[in-house]
Amino acid sequence: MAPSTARLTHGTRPGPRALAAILLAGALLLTACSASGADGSIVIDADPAPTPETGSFPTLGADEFEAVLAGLEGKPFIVNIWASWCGPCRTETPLLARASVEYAGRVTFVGVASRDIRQDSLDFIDEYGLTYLNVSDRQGEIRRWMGLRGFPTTFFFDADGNLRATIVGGVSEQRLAALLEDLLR
Amino acid sequence: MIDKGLLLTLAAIAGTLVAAVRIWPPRTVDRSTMLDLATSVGVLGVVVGRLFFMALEDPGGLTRIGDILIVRSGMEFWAGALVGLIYLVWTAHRRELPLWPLLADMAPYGLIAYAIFESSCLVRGGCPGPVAGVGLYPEGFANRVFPVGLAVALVILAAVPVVRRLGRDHPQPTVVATLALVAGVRAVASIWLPRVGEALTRQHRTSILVAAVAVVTAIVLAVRSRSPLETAAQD
Repeated sequence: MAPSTARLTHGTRPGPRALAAILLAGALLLTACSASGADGSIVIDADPAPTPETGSFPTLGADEFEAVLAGLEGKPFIVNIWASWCGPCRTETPLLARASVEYAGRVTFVGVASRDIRQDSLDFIDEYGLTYLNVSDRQGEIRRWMGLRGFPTTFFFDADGNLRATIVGGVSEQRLAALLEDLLR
Repeated sequence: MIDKGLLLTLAAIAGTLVAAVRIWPPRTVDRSTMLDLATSVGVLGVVVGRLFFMALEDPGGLTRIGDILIVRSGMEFWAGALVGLIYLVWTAHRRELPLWPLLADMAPYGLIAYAIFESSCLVRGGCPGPVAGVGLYPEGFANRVFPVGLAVALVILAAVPVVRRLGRDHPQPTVVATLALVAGVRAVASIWLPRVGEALTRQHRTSILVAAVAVVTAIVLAVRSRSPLETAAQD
């Protein structure tokens, strides 16, 4: 049986475990880029409005956006709130772009650029070749209405407009595909 | 914002490993050194895995420390595992420890840590999988799904006593077989894990590659270990 006392001298300096605990506790605890906002459920209760044209990147307030979402009922839809300065947003966006093509006609994707400079948002949309609707949340009303806690956040709604899941932080391919398939069943 | 699920996972891994080295003491080094090595490998693996993921998915983010720190966005498992292995080889050489016995000694603890990580899907948003009659309802799901992460954890845990037993007398093949096991399990699990589209995911492709390399390595080692015996028999 190995001796219980350390064979190697560690002295009085902090060992790897102590340093690791400090590093990891700090780093790994981060889920998403920070944002402020209340945590609450979302209820879509507005008269449906026509969906803006993809590529128009309109600036909408909370009421207008709620009306747009009401108009999407009938098929599942997801709302992804992002910002061009957000690292996890850049990581997950190619996945969302691919998924929007894969699930075209079955699930509607909507992006919301919030807390962002308009031109930076447009550059981001161009960079990732997003073909689904994106809107600008210039005043921050949409993110407050949706109770955003961090960038990015993806909201999954069923065909009746009921919120089924919220993912704060970058969404993985597994969870995205799993949730989309579940919404479609 | 705080990732409570990941915090819980880390605590579970740390606590379990501390208990594991007490219940099954390491053979090549003392308990404290084993925990230090495990911690170093874990931290290094996470850091490298994260950097490698970012290099593939968001190279521009490598210049932003804030983006790098958001580990939950993704990590490359095998990149981290490879660097962890290289670190152990270097450490064994530097401290004049027997390499293969050390690796075989660490293998069961590595498997335990990995199993806990896989099962931690329960507290990190749910364990996705195919729709099944037996399973769980992850958060937000209306259909029951088979928890692939939990199944992986159970398979890995079942191998722990076998790996520990075999590692004592056959360290080299045990280490290679352990790698092949993890890679094989990840490759098989990838078949059932949901994905966007029909193409193999990167996890799937790399796991198949690592499994293939491990199997080839096992064959080469087996052939080499037989050669001296055959030569002696001919003499």
